[in-house]
Amino acid sequence: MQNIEAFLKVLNSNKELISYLFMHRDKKVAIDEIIDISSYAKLEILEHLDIIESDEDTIALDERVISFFEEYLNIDDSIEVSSIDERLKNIKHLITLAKKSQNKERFIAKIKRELKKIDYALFRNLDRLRVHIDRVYKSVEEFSLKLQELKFYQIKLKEFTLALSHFEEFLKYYSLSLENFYDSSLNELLERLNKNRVLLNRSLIPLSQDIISYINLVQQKSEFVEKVIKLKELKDILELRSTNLEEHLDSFDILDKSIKISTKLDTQILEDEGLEKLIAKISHKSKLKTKKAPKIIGEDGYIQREYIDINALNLQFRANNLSLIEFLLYNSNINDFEEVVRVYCKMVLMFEQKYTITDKKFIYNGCEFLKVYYES
Amino acid sequence: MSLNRSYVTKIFEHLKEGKFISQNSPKKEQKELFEYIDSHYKELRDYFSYISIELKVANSYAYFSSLANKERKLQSIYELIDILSFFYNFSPAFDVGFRFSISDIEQKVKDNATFEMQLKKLKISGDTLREKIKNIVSKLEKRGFIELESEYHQRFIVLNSFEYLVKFFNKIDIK
Repeated sequence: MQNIEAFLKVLNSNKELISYLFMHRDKKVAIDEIIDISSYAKLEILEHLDIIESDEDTIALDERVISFFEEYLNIDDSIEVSSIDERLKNIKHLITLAKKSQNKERFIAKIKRELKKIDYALFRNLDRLRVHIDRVYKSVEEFSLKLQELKFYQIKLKEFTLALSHFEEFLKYYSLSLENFYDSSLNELLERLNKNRVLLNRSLIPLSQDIISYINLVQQKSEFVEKVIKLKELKDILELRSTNLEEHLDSFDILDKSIKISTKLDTQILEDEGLEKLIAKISHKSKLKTKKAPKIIGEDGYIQREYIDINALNLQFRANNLSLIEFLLYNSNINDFEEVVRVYCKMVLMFEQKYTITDKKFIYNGCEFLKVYYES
Repeated sequence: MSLNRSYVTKIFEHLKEGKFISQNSPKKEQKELFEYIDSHYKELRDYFSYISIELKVANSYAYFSSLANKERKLQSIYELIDILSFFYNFSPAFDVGFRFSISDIEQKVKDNATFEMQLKKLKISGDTLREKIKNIVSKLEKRGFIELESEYHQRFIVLNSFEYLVKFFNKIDIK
């Protein structure tokens, strides 16, 4: 290729073909596939200029063209740090030349360009390492492959760390030489490089920790999965006794049936003579209240008498130590005295057999009531 | 510190079935319950101990501990070995936070004859392949190790409680 102008002109006139070949750069493209967007004559010229290479009936872009586009578009995902050492050697050589030369600017421009390239390469490679390591850990399913890939990137990370330390050493020992060129933009660049160096070192710490922890986790997980599959094999051939499973049975404490809270009292308690007292005690503490039915309004608009559940009242009385009249007056929520008298009489008649009617009297509101207790 | 009656009831209702409550559950209520357990563990443990129930909290999950009989425990463990082995054959990456759908498993079974054989050996009920897969998935779901994250996509997530199984099986040594 004679000059850049001719090179760009050829690229431009074959842009459709070159784009297609770049998109399919990982395979050989058949000539039949692209002949509609190019011609044999054009292909011959491109081959002559080393832009494409052909092999019988297939063609592909020249590796240098692919690398250029990948580099420019930042889509090359390879980790490449070995060039940094080469560039550092080159800069050292350029510094020596610049010191001796009358035309320092030419060498300083080259030094700046090389320094920028190193800085860019360090950031790009660190970024790629982060992406690759996370991708491998999260998406590669096969444990052996995952482990192998992670270990590969661990080596790459070490290479990166070494390249970065070489660059730091260079900045340490050559900063003074570079500052002595008294070039303001070079000095600004050096300042930026020093700041970036700190940033790179800071980013390296979590990445190094992550890769170690990923490798450990994958190794542990891999061993665990293998163990479960082995246990399954042993179970299927009834050979689980060759494990210490039984020793650890106590630590397997998941509920395997639902918890049911029984509301039925223990038979021993039910048969105990003290049951009634126990119930009475509990009922007394829980202060059971008689539920009143809602007021019923008759057709004439008058409120009819409230319905009182005598049976429920009797149960409450049973759970009480008071006499019937005292119970009705103080614990039953019946406010009307006449109603108390009516209920008292009704309950004595209804439950006479269960009650003990004593001779003791209770006087209330000028009326005498015999003290009646629930049969003990 | 007094306990919130509503939370206690919900915790009991959930755990009494032998399920777990996990912090990474996609259900908001479960997350809240775990946070409540985590911040009131001592009170809740004492409360449940009155009715002879032992509440246990690990790193990010909670459950009711039980000392069931040995035979029943062994049956549970055998079933879990079958299920875990099945899921590890589906994906070795199966672990806390792992997401999968019924269709993913269905596709893998169709593509992999060995995997299909394994499913057959498990003798899971169901007329169709999808039904069988649903039934095996529901075994883990019922125990609270996985939960449906997206009903539309039928996508499940492996919960923190799965760590319980990992811890348990890690203790087992093969001689």
